[in-house]
Amino acid sequence: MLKFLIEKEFKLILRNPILPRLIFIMPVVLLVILPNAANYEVRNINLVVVDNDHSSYSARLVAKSASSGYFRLVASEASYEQALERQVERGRADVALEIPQGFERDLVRQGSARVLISANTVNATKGALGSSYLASVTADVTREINLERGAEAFASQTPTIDVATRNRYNQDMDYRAFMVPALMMMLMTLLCGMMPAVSIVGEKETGTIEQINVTPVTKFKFILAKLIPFWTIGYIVLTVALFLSLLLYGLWPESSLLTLYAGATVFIVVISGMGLLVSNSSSNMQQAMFVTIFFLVIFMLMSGFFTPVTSMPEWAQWVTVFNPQRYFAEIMRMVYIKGSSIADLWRDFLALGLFAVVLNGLAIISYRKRV
Amino acid sequence: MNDTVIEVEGLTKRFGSFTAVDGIGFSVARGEIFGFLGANGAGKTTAMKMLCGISRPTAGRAVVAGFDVGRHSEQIKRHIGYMSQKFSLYGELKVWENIRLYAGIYGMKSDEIAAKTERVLASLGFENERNSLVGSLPLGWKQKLAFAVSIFHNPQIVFLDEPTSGVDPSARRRFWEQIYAAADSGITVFVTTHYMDEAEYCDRVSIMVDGRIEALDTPAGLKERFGAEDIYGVFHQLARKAQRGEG
Repeated sequence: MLKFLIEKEFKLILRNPILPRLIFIMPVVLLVILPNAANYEVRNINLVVVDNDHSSYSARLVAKSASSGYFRLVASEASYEQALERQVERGRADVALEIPQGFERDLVRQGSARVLISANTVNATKGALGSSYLASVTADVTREINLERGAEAFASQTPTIDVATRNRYNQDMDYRAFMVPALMMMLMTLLCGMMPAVSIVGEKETGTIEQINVTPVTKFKFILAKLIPFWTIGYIVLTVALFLSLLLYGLWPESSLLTLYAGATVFIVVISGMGLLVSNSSSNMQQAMFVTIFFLVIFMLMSGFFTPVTSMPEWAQWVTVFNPQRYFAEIMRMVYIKGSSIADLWRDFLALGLFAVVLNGLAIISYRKRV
Repeated sequence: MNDTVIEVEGLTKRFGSFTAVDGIGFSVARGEIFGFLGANGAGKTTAMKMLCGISRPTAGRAVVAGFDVGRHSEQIKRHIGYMSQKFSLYGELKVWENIRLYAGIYGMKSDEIAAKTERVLASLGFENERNSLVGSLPLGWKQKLAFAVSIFHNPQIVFLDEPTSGVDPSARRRFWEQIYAAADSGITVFVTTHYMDEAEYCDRVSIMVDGRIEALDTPAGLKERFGAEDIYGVFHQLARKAQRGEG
């Protein structure tokens, strides 16, 4: 009986005008385009310089900034006001560096000097990173000059501005190793969580489920027949994504594939349960889609892929405890970057297992209530 | 009577304080065409859902194909066919694929299904539609196919819920020919309808008003008792007493 139902599901998926193409195109587009376009690196920050000192040291600071690789020197202005008005306000420059008169003199006499950095934080990341890069470049130049002049005493006093924490996603090229597992997780969620839910609700909408209810097909078999095709597609897409990211970015899990697929399997059961829960409480596809996307967005953003869980405020960290994506994100990242085994990740597996039991249990209970 | 396939006693369904079906009782013999008439909202569909095992009775007893509807509803589902008023085959599946799906659900084997599909398509005159998507067929054809699918697995009883609604008169006549053929082959037909002329085609007719069965007899018997010319006259006299409105 199950065989005939699964056969029907595959036919319906293949005959859908959009689905088969989407299933093929989605992983390719996500993996080819997103890691390249949506990267976290901030380069090409437009810099305007106001050099009131016109000394050799101030020229050196400007040259060093321009050659650091992060900045593009777009203009030099005669005054700070002009720089703001003509460059920053018109959107030509993101960061302004003003070197005051007496910069070289102060540096020689005191071993330190003041500069003014102001950033346009309409684009918050660019502005914040731009000013901290500039601060670190300035600190570097100051230290260099002091060392050259043999002023070790001053050099050791010079405050070093540590930007290493902010540079985590930027300075090494490893942000892709963050991005790719996140995209895989998103694909799995859409395919194994949202698709079966939408498909079940679709049968409610067209009324075909009423006919099925009068046949000897049990709810369990009906649901299983809905899930198996999408699980299959989920594994295939995951595998395709795995090889695609090897091909494109040379990324391959540090751990064994067993750990990866074991994690994926538990995760699939979790999100299927979530999808079933949604399908039980929705009476049409619009509702089902909207509810899934609502949860998907929250779960993805709070999974720890985009903002590390430990950087979130405490209340948000508590919220993530109830986010299954958080545990799978952890597994995927550890598998890709750190090479952890199932034994190392037992806490995450346990948490996901609990979610699987609770969500599917709730799905079964809420399904029965409706009969 | 040994050859009774449906036996109903005091069957009741309440939704809160509303009694949709109020202690109905009747029995249906094997091979009979049993008409189930009533205005909209009289409780026909609710009663039929209980007999099909998809709705649990609040009180009373019903035995369908030898199984109690309260306790063995899954067993009942193996031995009945059902066709709803709303067309519910899969529109994106081909004619033969719909047949194969439902036959498979009822436990038939692939080769058995393939052989019988050819015979059924031939008798329907559907040989050329074998590979058509069901969604593209005209409504009358869809209904014919839906009925063929509902009796494909040779059920003891087939339940038809307003099967001819929205179909033109000539298609309705052809549809009734299909029903006669099924009854001749020994399948009991339990049919609800609101076309009074169709009631004349049934062996026996029950008329439901406000959740109760107000009359149950052969069409001729009913007309004689109520002194009416046709079933519509009978129905009209009974339905006047109805408290519940349409819908």
